[in-house]
Amino acid sequence: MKLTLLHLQAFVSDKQIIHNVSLTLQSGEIHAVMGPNGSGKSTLAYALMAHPSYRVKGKIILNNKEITKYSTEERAKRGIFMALQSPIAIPGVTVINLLRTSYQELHGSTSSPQVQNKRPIQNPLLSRRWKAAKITLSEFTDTLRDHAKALHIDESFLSRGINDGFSGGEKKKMEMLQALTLQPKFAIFDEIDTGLDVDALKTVAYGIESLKKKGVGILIITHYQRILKYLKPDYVHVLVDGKIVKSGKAVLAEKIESEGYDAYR
Amino acid sequence: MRIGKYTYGFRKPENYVFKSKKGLNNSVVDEISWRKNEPSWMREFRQKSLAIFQRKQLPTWGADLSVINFDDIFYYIKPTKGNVSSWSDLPAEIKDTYDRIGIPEAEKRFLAGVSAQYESEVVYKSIQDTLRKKGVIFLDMDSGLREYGEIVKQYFGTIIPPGDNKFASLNSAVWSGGSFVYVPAGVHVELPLQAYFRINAANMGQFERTLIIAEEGSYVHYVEGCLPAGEQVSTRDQWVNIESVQPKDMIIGDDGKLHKVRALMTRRYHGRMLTICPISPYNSFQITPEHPVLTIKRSNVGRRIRYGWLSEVSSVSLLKQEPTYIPADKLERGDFIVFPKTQPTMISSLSDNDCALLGFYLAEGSTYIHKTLKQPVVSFSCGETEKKFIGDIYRLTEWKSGKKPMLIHDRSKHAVEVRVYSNSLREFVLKHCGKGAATKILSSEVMSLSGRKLELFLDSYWRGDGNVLKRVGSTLMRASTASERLAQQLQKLLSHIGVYASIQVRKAGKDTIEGRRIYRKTQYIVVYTPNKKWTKVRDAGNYFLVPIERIDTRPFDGPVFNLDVEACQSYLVRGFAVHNCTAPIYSTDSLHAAVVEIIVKPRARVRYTTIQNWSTNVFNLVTKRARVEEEGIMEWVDGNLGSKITMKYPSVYLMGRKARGEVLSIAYAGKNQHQDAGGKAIHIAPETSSQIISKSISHGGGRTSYRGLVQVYPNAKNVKSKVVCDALILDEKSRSDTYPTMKIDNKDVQIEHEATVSKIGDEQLFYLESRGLSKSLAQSMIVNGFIEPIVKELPLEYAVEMNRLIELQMEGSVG
Repeated sequence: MKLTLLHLQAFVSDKQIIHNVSLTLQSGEIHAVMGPNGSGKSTLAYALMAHPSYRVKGKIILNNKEITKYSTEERAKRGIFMALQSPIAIPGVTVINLLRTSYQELHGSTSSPQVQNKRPIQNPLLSRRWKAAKITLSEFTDTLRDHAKALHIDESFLSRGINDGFSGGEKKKMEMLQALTLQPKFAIFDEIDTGLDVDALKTVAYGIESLKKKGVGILIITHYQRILKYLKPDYVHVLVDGKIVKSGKAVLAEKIESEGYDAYR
Repeated sequence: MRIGKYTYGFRKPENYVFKSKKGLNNSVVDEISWRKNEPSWMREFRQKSLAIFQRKQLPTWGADLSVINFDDIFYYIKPTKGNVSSWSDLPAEIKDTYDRIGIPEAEKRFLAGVSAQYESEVVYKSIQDTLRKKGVIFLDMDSGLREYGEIVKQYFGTIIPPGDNKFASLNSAVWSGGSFVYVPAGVHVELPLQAYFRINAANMGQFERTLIIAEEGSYVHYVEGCLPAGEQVSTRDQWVNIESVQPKDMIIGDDGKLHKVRALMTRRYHGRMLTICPISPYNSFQITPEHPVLTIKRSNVGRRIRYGWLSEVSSVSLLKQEPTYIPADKLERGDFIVFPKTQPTMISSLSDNDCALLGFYLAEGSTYIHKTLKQPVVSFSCGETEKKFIGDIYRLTEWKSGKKPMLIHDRSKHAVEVRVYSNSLREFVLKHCGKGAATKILSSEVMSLSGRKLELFLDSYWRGDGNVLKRVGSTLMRASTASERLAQQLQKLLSHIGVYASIQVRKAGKDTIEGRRIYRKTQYIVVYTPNKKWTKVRDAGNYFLVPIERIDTRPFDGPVFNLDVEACQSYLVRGFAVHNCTAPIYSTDSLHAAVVEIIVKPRARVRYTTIQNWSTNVFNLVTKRARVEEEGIMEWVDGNLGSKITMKYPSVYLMGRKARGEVLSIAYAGKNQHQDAGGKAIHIAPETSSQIISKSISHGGGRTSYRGLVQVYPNAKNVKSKVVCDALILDEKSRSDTYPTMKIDNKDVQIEHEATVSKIGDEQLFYLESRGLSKSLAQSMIVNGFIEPIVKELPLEYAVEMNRLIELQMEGSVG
């Protein structure tokens, strides 16, 4: 599988942030997009996820199918996942409830018409819905617990409101947990490394590595190359002023670390 | 097409022993007191209260109440002659009303007691022996006054004196009904005591009065609720069981078109259940006696009556008559009920040949994967003599699959099998007809066939499964199938070409065919006569008028279901049109002004839960107050969903050391609603503590206000109080305000106040959508998450109801 951006441009109101970005992400590859502040890195991520504040021109193609016009929900259902830089809190919506519902929406409803078009609030514990997602509730819960354990997330977090009162590091790990649990085909990580201590950084890098092993195509958007110490990207792209000015192998990241971005402006 | 008119609002016919005149004066109050045979102190109390009411001004704060016309209200209605002691003694229509609001007959067996307020008076009560043995009194207020006058006199009006506010004085003057609860010292009532209230007459005021006394060390949970509260119904292509219908499903209404289901209501029903059997025994349906059915009465169109038969019917006047909704109870044998022809909902892309082939498959075909060859097989079995039949099937399968079919002649069975190995054909027939004799089912594309294609399909089906009985001047078409759903679908398809087919059921059992003993599955036989000269069924264009053959009655105890359908207010039960049951609809506003007084003695604990869902023309102005003595605990859980205007601030007066009070309040305001709610905590004694948590949601132009008071008296040291009020606003049109008041006259206190107002933010929506949730699912999740802290405090059935109600109200808020 591959995800292709073709001459992608993104605008906030009338201001153009992304100019003509093209790249192709294959399953099982890690691409890192690096760039200085204000270069449009986050915009690129949001544009890929169809955030309503961004207007997009050009094409986004998933496996020969153009998805440029697809909504956020539709893109998610086709296997694109985005870990947000600073995810918002939703009190009362517990992590476990969100993940159950989300898993069912992503893996159950499209394949099985009998669970579609039903009342908006589904009881995520209903076995009928799990059947459609081809997994049982207890299997799902076990997997979730295993992932949480591997990421050093205390189980008590699972029954708290998502991101409600979480620290910066906890939020990032929670995004990672979602990426692992929801089994996307392509995952975008927007500044997943900022604000993490070394241990958390290793944990997150481990998470990305295990996604890669499962064949997930990964796009890491970052300012520093800190996380790249623990991960070897297949490709590195340098984004400056909304354009990819240079692409290369992992060594490019080290070069940027020593020389800074100025050489590419 | 318009069938009938919406004349049934489910207001029961009013049948009262006594109804006071509209408006209020001394003589009305005297008359109420006299009718109730009250002691003189109560009459004087009422008169004094009336004087205060007349003097008092409406509150100048809060919602606008100036529109209430106090002279246009009935203040007292006495529904029956005195209280009755058992459920079966109740007049039928009062029982019906109770049934409709869901007084669960079976629940009563395990609930400690149920007391229900029908308009002004509690007419039914049941107290379990266990309660009585413990010395707990749970009565309606009128009986309480009669039987325990001394206790009532000691406490009545002491917590909320008539002068407290205009509506308290009004209630004190004209109160009627409500509950009287007395829990002796040390007694714990484990199960909640429940009461249901309902306004049934237009312009009716409801002024119930509740007094709860919890003696030292006792515990009681009192729940007050007004919760409005069903066979197979037609959806797009098939019938489904009514209980499996869910809000937002599409079902067919009396106009033959698809409509969205707004709600599925269920209630326990105990009473008579009618079975209406029209021509076509299979289409018999069960219905409760008050449920309206779209009907033309034979008596309206009948002519002469010969012998003992039903009257003859004039076709001209029958077809001119417009059917109307009539309660099932009023139906008689021979009346015509309406079977709307359903309209095809899409254009089918099937070709003529496709239709013919599918018809053959439906009748004689089967498909499977060949076990040894591992090849997909589609096969048709025909009698060896049916040469033309075999030829047609052969040609069509060859045409469709592009492969040469095999002809396998089994001489021992006198059968010829047409067989083709084709995956595309197998998928095609599976998609449109399914497989298995008892489980074949038609696709929505087949169900939307009409005209010539439909005739082709039916014709080839009939050639296979059917038989044709020709008599002089008449032909009888019969087809027999083991698939119940297929029989229903055929009946519906036939209605597309103007044929009302009858379905007969032949029950499963042992049978003998040509000497062989077999076990036969239940057969559904679809029968019609295409060229009838005269018929009992009339075709009225968009619907058939089908006479009732028989009506059976049997006792019933169990859940019944009912649907609330958008736009057309009706649905089809086994093909026949019946009406929604809905909450009473009044064009004029009603007033609900209750007073609840609670005395919590030392170390006692009382919890009082209310879920009000009045219709949106009720002014809900209730005064609730509890006095809490040393180490006592009072908890108010208050949910406000319905009503036009609610003003309600449950209060705790913390009179004794270490007393504790809690108020949990949820308010939901939709279009044209104003929920002005909150709580009050008055700390009079030291070391008292209180907590007020308020959650409000406004949408569609609705308005919520939090109004609260925390007051600490000079002597009340070491007081702790916490107020949290959170508001969620769902759209730009809606509004939320907070009016917190603090009067703190002591420095030694610990007061916390948190208030948040949030909108469902685009970022929250984006976050959930990026996890694959639809916008409406995301919104529902956010709202449910928001009220979760309070919902978890509700008894389970109320928590479920609360979520369901909020979800219902949320509909249409997306966008």
